[in-house]
Amino acid sequence: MTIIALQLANGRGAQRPTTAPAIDVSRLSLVEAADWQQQIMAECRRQRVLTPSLPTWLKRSGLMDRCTFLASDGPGLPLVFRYLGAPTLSVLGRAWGRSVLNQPDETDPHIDYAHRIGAEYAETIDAGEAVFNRITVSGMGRPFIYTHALYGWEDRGRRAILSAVDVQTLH
Amino acid sequence: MPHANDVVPRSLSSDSVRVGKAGASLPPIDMSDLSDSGTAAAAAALGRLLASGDHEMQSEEPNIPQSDPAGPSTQHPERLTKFRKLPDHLRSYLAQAAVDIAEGREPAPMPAGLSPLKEAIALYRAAMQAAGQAATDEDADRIDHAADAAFCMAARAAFPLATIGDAQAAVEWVLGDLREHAAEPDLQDYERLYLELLGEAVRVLGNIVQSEPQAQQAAAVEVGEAAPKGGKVVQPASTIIPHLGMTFVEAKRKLDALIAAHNVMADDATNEELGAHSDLWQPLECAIFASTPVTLADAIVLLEIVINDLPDPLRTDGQDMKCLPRVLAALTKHRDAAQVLPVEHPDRALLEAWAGYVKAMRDHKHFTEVVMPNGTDEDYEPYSQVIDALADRIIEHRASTVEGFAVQLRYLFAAWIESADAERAAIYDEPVTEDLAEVLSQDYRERMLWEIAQAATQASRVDLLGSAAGGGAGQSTFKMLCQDATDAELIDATVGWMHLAAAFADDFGEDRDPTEQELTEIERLEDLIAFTPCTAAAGALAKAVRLTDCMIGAIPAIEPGGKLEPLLNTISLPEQEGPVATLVQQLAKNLKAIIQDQIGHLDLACRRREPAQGAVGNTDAELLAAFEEWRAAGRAVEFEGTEGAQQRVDAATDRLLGFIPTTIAGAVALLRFLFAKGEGGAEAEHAILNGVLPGEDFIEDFRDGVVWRLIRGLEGIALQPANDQPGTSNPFAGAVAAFEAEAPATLSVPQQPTGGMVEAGATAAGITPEQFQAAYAAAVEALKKERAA
Repeated sequence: MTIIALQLANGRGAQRPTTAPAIDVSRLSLVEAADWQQQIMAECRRQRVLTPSLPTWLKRSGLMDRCTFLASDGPGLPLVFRYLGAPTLSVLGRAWGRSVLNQPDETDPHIDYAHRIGAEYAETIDAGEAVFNRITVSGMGRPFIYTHALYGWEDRGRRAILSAVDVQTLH
Repeated sequence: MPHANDVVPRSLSSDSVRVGKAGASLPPIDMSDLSDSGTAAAAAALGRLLASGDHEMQSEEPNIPQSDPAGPSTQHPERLTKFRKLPDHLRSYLAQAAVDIAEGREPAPMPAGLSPLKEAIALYRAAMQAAGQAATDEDADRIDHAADAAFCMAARAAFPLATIGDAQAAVEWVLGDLREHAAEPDLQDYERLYLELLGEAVRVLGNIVQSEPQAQQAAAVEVGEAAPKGGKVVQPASTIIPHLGMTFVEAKRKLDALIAAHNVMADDATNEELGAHSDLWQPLECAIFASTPVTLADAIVLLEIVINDLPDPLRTDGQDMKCLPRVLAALTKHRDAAQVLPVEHPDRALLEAWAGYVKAMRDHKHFTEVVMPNGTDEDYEPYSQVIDALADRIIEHRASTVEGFAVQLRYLFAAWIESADAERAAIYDEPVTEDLAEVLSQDYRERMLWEIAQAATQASRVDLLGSAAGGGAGQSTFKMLCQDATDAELIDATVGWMHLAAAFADDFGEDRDPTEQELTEIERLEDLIAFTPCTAAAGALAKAVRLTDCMIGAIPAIEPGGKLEPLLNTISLPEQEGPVATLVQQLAKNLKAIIQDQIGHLDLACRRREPAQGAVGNTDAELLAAFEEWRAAGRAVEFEGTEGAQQRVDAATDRLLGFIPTTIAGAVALLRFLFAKGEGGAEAEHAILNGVLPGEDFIEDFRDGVVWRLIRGLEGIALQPANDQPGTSNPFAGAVAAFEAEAPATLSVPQQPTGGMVEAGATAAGITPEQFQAAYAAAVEALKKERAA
């Protein structure tokens, strides 16, 4: 895999991560999620299948840019970043956003991080139920803690995942 | 490339073959041979030979120096027969070409109408046959040589291989020829031909691979290579042969090295040693031959090996040649893929003119209504000039795609109706107002025109969406008018109508009046065409045919032979002046060409329907057909209220109620029927007949409300499987696309400020968070406007 030089959010640019970041993922109950995260998950449950009415709803309710959305192009193909919300960009940077948009999630320069989170995505899609995690990351730029509420879909091998991201601490 | 039996002297292994004519060590074909005066003399002799007639062929020996008068003219009788079969014009061309070559000139280009490759090959064959008549081996060799040179000249001059398609044709020909002549003992006579063609193919493919990595990559994706979408993975030039663990190119390199070593050894090694070494490279070669090439580089590797081996496989069992079909398949895929690389939109000029026209109309409207509401015609003149110029361009263009067709129809509609409402609907794509709907309901021809324009517009948009979702590299984003094959009912009706109506058209028809029955049929078909809604470009086209008759009285007639020849050329238009007449004429001309293309297709569509009706699965096709018939008949009753139409309604109702639906679409059709017959009365029925479902506020009866909800709900579901084909949009893909559409917004400036932004902004400016949010919203709005401008 090609490693794309990492642009940090502070704009000073390009340092390749030298040490593996420490990522801690703890599974929490959805009642601990922020109310808007719960709202999004409830709407995903209500709609069940993924149709354009979900993005429409997200836009209407003003929650669109708190989400990140990935989808694969077909069976066996990787998840690809389709939409990056403000929280994700605030942590990882706009330049990072531009470099990974429409790229498979595995091409994320933060390899370990991408793999760890990718496992959560896969689990959510398989389970077909909302998942809520608190994630603590250190060793990758500035340490940060965030929660994400995940909802996944699969339609004849095409997979998609919506991640409602709430950044809690940005040290 | 040597084979195992190469360790045995060739004279032992190929004793049944004429040694010396086309042995394993053919010298490379070289144009400088032509400077050899002996060769030139032989070529000249060949020319004379070719120029001679049939009788001389048998009675007179070719005038070749030192030829033996008792030459073997009867030795190859079947060759002479073949030679005589060459058509005269070809023989004279070939003779001239041979003379030209002999005298050091470039042979003249092929006469038009001759297939260059075929002719070049025929030239070569003829020459080889002539060589067969030569008295001595030396003479034969010289003619051979001249023929080689002549063929190469002719082949290169007349058949310049330049594209993947050319290379594919060359390989295809070699393969076909090998199969055809497999049983002939003198097969190796044609080796030069194969070598030349395959060598040229390799040269061309090599150029393509070097010059077009992009196209190569696109083509590889096209043929199903696993290239991740959106990834920046460069397609490898050569693919891996799985059980060798190396690519075709690497395997070839290794093979070449081993064979080079083999050849070095060959001078002083024993047969056993050479045999042992052969065991090293032969499995490798077999593995390469057994693999299926994917990229052009792979194909080149296989072709190169075939070329190196060429003298051998022809004498052995043609083992190597078995890979040629796979090479051919790979090349065919690449050729097809290369053909769908982006092509300029055929109606680009028209679509640009239309875009300009819409803008100019808006500008004009703005100027006359806002900037200078009380201006004179002179004030508006500059705007009118622009609009007229663009309108002329729209009118004069000959559309060949659905999009082009659609915009011309929209222009025609606006110009035909000449009202502000029509202009808004057709040009600005605004909804049809009640007034306009009223106008349209009064004249079925105007309504037809609107329907046609809408269907064509719809068809072109659907196609655009489809190709965007499909996203295949280099997929063309336009649809030619003749590609569309739905709306079968409309097309059938139109073809039937054309047959009948044309039979009684003035001047061209039969010399009698139509019978009562025929008249009824014509009217029935006309109703059907007028009232069956069209959904695709083909249907729009079918309606346009009928409309052409309505508007300008031109029936596209069908000649007895079945070939369609519209009478449009002989038509005098009611209004010779004005843009409308011109555009109708232009469209009519388009239609004439299109219909001629389409007619075979239309007839085919008719025929296909026959068995299709018998073989109804669980698709509710008959139920849906009955429902559509009920609607068409019902509209005919509303429009003219004839007895016949009422009978059709009754018959269709009976049929419709004889089915139990098996699909959602079928259930919806029955529900719609139920809704039409519910408490909503004539108004509800009218809406359903016209394919409209009234709004919720229309409904008073709760039972109607339930039916209405069922229709709404089920139609939402029914749409999904219908759209569920690859390349067309589906809800899942639609959702993904909707997210994607939002992506650029967050990456430039978020629409909503984040919490951090609000805090930081408010603090920095010394204002409240609310004030900052208001300021931010205003800034985003301003940015949007700037970008839109």
